Amino acid sequence: MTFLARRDPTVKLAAVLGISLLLIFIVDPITPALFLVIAIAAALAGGARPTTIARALVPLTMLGMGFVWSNAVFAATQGPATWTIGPVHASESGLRFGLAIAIRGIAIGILSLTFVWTTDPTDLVVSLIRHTRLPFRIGYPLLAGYRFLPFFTDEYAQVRLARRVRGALPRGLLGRGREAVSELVTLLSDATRRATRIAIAMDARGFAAATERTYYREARLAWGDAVFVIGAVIMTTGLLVLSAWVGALRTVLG
Amino acid sequence: MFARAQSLTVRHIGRKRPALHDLDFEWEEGERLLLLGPSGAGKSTLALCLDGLIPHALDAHWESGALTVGGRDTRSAKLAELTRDVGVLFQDPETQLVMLETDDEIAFGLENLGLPRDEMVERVAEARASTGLGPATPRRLDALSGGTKQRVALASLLAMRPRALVLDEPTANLDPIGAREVVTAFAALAMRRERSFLVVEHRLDPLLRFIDRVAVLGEEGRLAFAGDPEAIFMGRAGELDRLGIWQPELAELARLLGAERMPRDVGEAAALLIDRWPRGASVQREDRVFGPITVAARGLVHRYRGDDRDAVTGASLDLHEGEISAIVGANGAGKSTLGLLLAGVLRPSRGTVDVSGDVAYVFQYPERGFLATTVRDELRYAATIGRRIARDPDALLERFGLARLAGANPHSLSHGEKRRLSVASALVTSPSVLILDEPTFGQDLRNTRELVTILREERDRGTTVVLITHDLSLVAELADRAVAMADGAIGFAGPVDELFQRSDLARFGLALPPAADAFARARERDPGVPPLTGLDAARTALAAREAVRA
Repeated sequence: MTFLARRDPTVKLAAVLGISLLLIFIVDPITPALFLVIAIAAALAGGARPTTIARALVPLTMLGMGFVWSNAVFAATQGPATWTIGPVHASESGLRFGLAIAIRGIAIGILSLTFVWTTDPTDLVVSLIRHTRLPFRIGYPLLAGYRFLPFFTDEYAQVRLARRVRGALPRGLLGRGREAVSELVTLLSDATRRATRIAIAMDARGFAAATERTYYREARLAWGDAVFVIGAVIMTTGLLVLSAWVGALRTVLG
Repeated sequence: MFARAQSLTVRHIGRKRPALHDLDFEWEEGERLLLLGPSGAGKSTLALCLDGLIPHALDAHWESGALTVGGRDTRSAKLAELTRDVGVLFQDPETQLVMLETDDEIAFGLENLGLPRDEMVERVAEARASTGLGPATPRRLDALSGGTKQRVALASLLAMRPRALVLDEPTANLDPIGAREVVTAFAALAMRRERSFLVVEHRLDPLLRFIDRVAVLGEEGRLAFAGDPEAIFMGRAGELDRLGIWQPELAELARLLGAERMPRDVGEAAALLIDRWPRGASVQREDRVFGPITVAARGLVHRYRGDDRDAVTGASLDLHEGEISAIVGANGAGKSTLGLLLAGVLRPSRGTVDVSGDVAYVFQYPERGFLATTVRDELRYAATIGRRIARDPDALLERFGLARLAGANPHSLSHGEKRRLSVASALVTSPSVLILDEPTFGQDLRNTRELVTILREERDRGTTVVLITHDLSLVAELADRAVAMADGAIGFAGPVDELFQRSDLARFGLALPPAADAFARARERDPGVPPLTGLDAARTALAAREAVRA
């Protein structure tokens, strides 16, 4: 296991949330770009394969390009245009702002995914219960629900197939909408049945009656977690200082 | 006495009839009790009461009577004490596993008990050992087969060291290999006699050796009768039959041979056959004359999007008018995919399917395909999309025992009724090919018999019938031909008795049903015993011999 994978999930989650929150106040493109580089490095250090990262970058970048485009064009309708390409006017300040939002989004996206890639869901729930006082009566059902997700896509395909074979013929927009609702109702009644059974099975193993619950998984904070937090703080401060030193740093405060 | 119910009446919320009605019931400490009853007789309700979930975690009307478990009155005892005493293994592995990994799952109940971590580690190891979950068992639950998941669920109960275990249809959702896995694990526990067991099950043959007593619930949630297995299965077969309760094949075989003792396993049944089978009594393979080819499949290949291997690979097959074929094989062998390709629901990646006429497909979970809000409209749905209604819907409702439910919502029906409705609405257009996916899955004896009768009628009308099934007893009774699949390919296609005589059945995830297994084993020692496929064939052989002698 890599250093990142061994870190306590709550600590990791706090770091990701903290850095993401900070990035929201930054409006230049260079600073989030620095963070993006670090995020990609962290993902690689956390054991993510380059192809996995590349595949995650594709949709994030497409979304980002949408931001860049709409901001550049939108800004040009408000102020003087910098460029005119055919019927399209765009402004440099808009482009800069769009780029900042886009790169910020990609950086936060890769940071969050790095968290997901290096965190075991069971560890996350146990750690949240023990370190953030998340009630176990919420945490464990969440975990049980997480198991459902793959069944859901499977079942949805089955329901659609079954209805199509019987001759469900959605015609027009209204018909399609009605068909989607019917499919959803069938799926939900299945899910309700499943959830009820799981709840019964959990209670049959003493979940409802549990008072002083103990944990099989350990969620002990290690020295490595302190090292990780200190490292994250130093790195964040360092990047901000670097960005300010080259004169790139712009925040919402000006 | 471990548990005793006295005039117990429990009614579920929103139901008119009580699930348990004036029930008197006893379960001795250390006893291995088999609980039987038709569907809806209250078996699962009793299981939930024994665990204290009714009334502590699930609301129900406790109308009268009392239930004591482990010396405690379940209504005044604490749920924590009751769930510690009694563990319940439910039917579906998918809806009783809570965690993502094996060890976490086994520890879940121990965490609820508040045990220190060291003790949990010790008990997890102990529970894994007693259910045969070795180091090779994958860590992640989603990588396990159904049978292994069910063993993990069993281990998670054992770790809590309960005084008693209730197993509520533990193999009903599994294929034959998975069922055998669970029965083996249960047998090992039952042999050690360390706790009391109550088993609800309908594959009875493998359990006969491990059962001390049988209790039978009647139709109104009352105790019908109880006694030792031999007295019940040899002496009260007629009553069990009337109640629609599955019986062990081996006991029925023994009765056919006029024996008084019940064989407790296949070995004993084989010895009985060697001793008593009238030599010369056998069946000739019926050379049925089929009509012309209705479905011709050539070189079918299908790969689902995102998969890295073919679900069906190079399958060729001819189906005829008036022929019942059974597609058999392990889970994931490609049976359902082949069925969907034959039905034209899936398009093959390569290969062709030629069908003369139209195909109706009945899914394993019929409620997923219900499109109307009443039973009658469901049956007539074909007309609303422009298909021709070829049979009188009212006559079909009558034939399928659904006439009094014509105005009901299809989703409100029982399992058996839903299944019958889905078959009826497939037949309303009088299709030339009828494909059914796991038609007997979760069905009781009465529904299964009814289905067999209906499918025979269809065959005689000239319909091409295809069953996709794990149930080899059904195949032996009903099918003219078996198609066995392994890893997406058809590995065998031919008469059922020929399939049963193959030595590589396990390659297809199959195992001989108990009666056929007894014949096969008897024949190994005495070639004078014929290789019959099951009780149906045995009955035919004995009747034919009687006729000759008369």
